[in-house]
Amino acid sequence: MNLERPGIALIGCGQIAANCHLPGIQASPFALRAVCDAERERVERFKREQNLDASVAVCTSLDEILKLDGVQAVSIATPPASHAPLSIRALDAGKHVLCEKPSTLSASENRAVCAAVARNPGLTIQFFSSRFRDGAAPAARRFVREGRLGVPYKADIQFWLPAARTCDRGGPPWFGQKAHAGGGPFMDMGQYFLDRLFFILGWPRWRRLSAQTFSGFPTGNPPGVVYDVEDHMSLLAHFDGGLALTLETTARVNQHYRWSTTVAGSAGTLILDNAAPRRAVFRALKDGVPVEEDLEAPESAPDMQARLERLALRLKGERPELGTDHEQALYITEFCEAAYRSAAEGRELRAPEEAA
Amino acid sequence: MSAILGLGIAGAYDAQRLRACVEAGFEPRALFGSSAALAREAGCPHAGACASFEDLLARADVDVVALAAPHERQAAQALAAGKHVLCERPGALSAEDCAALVRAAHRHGRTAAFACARLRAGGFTSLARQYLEAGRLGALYRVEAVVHGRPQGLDPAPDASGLFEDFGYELLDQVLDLLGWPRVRTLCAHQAPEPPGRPRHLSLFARAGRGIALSFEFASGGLLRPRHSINFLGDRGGLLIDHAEGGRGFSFFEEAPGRRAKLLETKAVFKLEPCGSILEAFREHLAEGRPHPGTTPEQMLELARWRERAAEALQSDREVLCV
Repeated sequence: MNLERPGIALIGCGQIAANCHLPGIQASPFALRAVCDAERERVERFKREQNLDASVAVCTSLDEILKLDGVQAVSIATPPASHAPLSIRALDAGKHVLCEKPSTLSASENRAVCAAVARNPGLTIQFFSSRFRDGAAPAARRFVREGRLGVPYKADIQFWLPAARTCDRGGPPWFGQKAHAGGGPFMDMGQYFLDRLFFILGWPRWRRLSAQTFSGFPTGNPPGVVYDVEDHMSLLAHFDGGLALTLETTARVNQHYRWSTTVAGSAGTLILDNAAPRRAVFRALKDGVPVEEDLEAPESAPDMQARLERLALRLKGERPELGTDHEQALYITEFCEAAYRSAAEGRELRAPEEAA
Repeated sequence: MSAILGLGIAGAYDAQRLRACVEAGFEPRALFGSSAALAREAGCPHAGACASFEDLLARADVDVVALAAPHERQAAQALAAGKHVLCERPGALSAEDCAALVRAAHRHGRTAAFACARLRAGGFTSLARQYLEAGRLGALYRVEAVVHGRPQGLDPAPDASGLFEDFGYELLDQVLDLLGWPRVRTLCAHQAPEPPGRPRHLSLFARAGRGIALSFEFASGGLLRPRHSINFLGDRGGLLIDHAEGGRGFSFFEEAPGRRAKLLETKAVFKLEPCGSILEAFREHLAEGRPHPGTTPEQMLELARWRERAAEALQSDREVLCV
């Protein structure tokens, strides 16, 4: 294996592949060996439009990738319904996996991924739910670990996007279809916010939650195109240690833009606003008066590049922290699944260990 | 009934509150629990001290009894004696107490009002009511009310034993009244642990009738940025009332083609009416037949139910089914 220039294959040739995965790969220590999509014409167009080197193989299935030499990792940028099957097959074929979020469509799929990781020791999988962990999140986590917040008692996530969703703007209709996307803005952007919050707080265990969704805005889709994901999710969740989380996620709302995470503790409050992703605000008392202090994060590599740089170090035997791992992804999916179920049943749900 | 209403006051009032009664058009005539010297200081020379609450009720020149502190028995007694009742902050009145007062008010044909409606009087609230009543938001699906720090214009309640008593009733009254007092199906609650020195923070999340998710955040003494805002989200428009200093004021957003919310207008017309306006409105209601200024006993009963359900949800560590 070439540890200085390991090989990677990119699966999926859509928007996220072009805008995020490919630039990250090209800036990383990895060499792009193949691009893959179910339709050959689509892959060839992608290769042409992205000016990829002639040596990059064009594949239409994971099987074709697996026949290539020098591919140590795959980067999965396909719709969510294919995440679990592709991840499991790639792991079982000896490849490290980087996979878009949401990790899977269901906790049972996540458990199958966990089983694949367990039977393939030495391989890694990381999901891109961790995209918001960069910027100010590590500094915020450090503040929590150092006890600067005191005891965290209230967290709040707000994602309000008063704009059209991708699928309304001529994007792929699967984005608005539960069977393919797993859910709406909560399953999509909500995963970033949940991952960042859990990362900052050290993955606290949720105990019970109550959620409600709203679906009812017209989609503008042509007749016959299914749009069955939620427009708005609201929830209140209780965690171990007396922590509560309130959350709102919506990409269709008649309101101002909101994109923030707040964590209130007995000794201080952290405010992260994605309008300034490298900055967090810490609010605490100084001489009896609330004072706000900025936590500026240093400039860092874009997410995909950073993940691949760390994976390259892993291949050399080092142990840098990777993105959302299989167990964290399972936890996020369980939380999301419980929220959707709570909303559907109109009642509070308890975490499995609580219910037991 | 004469235009001037004789007022009997029970409980500890200060000179400022007595003066507010006078300015609202009441004539304080009897005091129980406050001294006659205080009345003279407040410019109410005709107000004499009573030896007992019963003596106060026996006064024929007392039309209205103002209770400085919540007292279910005194309120019921006053209604039974043919007096109208104005009750200051309701404190720990139970739903059972409130239900008894609803019955007593009906039985004796007298009016009772609770002073929880202070936030209804603000200009933003009136404006929001116009938008809601005109149906400009379409079907409501989400209402979120957040208060971090005591709202402007509300004094701290001296006997506040919890966030409901501090300013929670007022915020609930403001929102529930705008929504037409929807029925609540489920309620869950979270309260920050409260060892000494910890901030107080209460979160309520309810599924209300008509498919509305309704939440309240009350925080006092914490390190959150000050906020006092209410969001109303509908499938045709959204409203934001933002009372906080430096806030956005009043905003209405309308569903627009292309699915991008369009901000139609922002008006800075907020003016929280002082406490006196409720007294004045109550006098106008009694003397001139104007609408009840709120909060009615039926509404107070609903507020007390919210408080009891929240307490039950906190104590039982589970969501409470309300229907």
